Amino acid sequence: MILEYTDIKSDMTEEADAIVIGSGCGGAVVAKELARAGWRVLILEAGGYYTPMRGDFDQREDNMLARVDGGRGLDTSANTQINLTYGNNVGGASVHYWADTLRTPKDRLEVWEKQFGVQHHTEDELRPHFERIEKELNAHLATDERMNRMNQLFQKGGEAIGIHVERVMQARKNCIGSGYCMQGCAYNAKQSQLVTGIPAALELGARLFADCRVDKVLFENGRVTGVVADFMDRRTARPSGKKLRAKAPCVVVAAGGYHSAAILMRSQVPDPSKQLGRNLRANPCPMVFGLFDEDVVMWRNIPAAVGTMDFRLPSYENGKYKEGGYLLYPNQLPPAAMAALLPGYGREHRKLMDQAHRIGSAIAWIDDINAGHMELDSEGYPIWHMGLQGDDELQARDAMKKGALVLLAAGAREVIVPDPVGTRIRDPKEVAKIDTVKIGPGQMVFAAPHPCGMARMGPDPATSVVDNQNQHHQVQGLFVCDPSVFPTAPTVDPSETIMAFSYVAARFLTEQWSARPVKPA
Amino acid sequence: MDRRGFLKVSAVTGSVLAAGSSLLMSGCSDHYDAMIPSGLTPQTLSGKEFAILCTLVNHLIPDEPGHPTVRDTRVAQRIDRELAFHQGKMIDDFKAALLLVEHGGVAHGTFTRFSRMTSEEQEQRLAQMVESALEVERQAFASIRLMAVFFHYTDERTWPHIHYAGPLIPVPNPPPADNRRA
Repeated sequence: MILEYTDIKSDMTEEADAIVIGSGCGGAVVAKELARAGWRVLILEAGGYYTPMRGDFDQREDNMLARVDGGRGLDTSANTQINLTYGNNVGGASVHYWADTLRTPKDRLEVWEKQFGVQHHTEDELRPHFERIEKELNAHLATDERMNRMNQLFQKGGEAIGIHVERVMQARKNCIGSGYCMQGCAYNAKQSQLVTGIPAALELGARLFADCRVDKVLFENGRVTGVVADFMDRRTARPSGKKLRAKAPCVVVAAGGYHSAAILMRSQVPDPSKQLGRNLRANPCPMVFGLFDEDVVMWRNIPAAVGTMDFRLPSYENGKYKEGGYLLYPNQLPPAAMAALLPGYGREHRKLMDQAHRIGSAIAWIDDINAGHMELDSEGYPIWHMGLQGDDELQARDAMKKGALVLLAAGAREVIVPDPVGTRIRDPKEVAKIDTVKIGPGQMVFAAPHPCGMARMGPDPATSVVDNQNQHHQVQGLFVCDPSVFPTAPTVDPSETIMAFSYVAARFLTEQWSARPVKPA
Repeated sequence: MDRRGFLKVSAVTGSVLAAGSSLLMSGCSDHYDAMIPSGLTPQTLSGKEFAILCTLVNHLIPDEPGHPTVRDTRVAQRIDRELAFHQGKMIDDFKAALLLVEHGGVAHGTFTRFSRMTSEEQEQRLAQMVESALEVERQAFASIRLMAVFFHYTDERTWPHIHYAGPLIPVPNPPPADNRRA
């Protein structure tokens, strides 16, 4: 059962065994597993419910950005350097993600265990969950037919300069290669939570309220008691005036890496560690463009069918950053987004756009080292303070240089750097220019699609927000099940890690949690 | 552009505009009214702010024979409409950014409003913003530029010029990807 804004005529009160806030990779998995165990589950999603069956996925950039992207695609960090990319719809960010499906690298799980004390999340313990997730999502290596020209060029260029380029696991079924992955798949081919976890949860009896934005989690005497929420009017993106008050002994906050901490802060949950809202990392994405003498048509077929792990971990020399610390992929941008991210304006910009079909791009996900933080303004809205600094800036420059080398080796006539003056690189010897291009606030914008860390996991209440079972250290029954709990970024696309962690949490809730509902035999 | 990202714009713009307050107080509503397309009432912006936006987007995406203009693609109207979906502070900040474009030259010793400048002077003013040591000037320009360019190229009349065939959804059986090499 799904309720939407058009169904809400008055204030509502509800009761459930568990309220799950958010319907993305974290929330959908937990909701499904709790429902499978017979719990009465109520899923609350702040964004709208969109489905190809109703023609909602019209493949127009403007419409889809407004429908499936948080902040209608316009949220930024306080200094405007970082564009916050997150989902705001049933299915969460998995509706607009690229479908690349990667297990958490063993080395990162070991860092989380050894440096942050995270337990029950070793590679061996997560393996069965990874295997299950990959089966559920039909994850498979990208096939030849899904290799668009940009992917082919990336492979050619990468191999020419000695980079190991490999196929990337894809969560797709019957993909036709339309190229509208970021606008939400109109063919239900991408295995987002909209077509996997959420339908499964509903089939098992969970209920879902879309357009329902949780204001606060309620708690008394150290135990969670429920939530209060505003029903949103999707037509105006504003509260409709109708409210929901829902009671439950278990509340799972899974509103995503940018918003879960904000809900907890608005709720004024205890925060003795002072870590709530801190440790924000989000994989900012530097990119460069390449102008080719052939058609590239970057916006068709799938993004990132290939990529390289060669630079996933940073390397240092004499204690100073040398290179790496990011994933490097072929980019995919739809035309208007490309226009917005290409440098310049006026006739020079139009000349570039006239050749848009011959423009390719390489993109990187920076494993940001320096963390940002979030605070609430006087109205309770989050303000995210983050930006490239220190080694993160060096990583971004190195990634752009490597991307430029790949594009040039692939045959690009010139590489276009999206700095204010649109620096051009026509020879590999010129890549050092990237060391000095201006990339500060107002000079270059970096999308950041993988927020994490603002309610981090650990055994010690003095240094972490939730325990190893995802439960808040100070509020019993309050769980966080999304990338907010990751101590750092996982160094790869986080979707599979989020889901695996949620499976671990769901197993604890249904099998070990002392307050789990007792069902009649 | 985001309300959260523009929190500093209002304050800085306020300082700049305080320095040039005599310019602001000198009426000129006819000047701005004349720049707004006949019969159009902005949804979120004031007449003056909308007129500044029109002037700016005309410069950012200049007319080119055979190409749709920003009047055709209604870039200013679409930005004005987009703002209606956002809340308080973001709208305030966007308005402040427009005033910074219009009057911010004062901080650089230029007392002519952006909307009264020649095209060459406008280009100098924008170059000044792009290269500005003031972060807020760069942010204001970059954010408005991003929105203007984005909305222009989401209009299907621009697509033939950039070799974009448009959505596949109207096609009952979408063709195979058209960019694959054997």
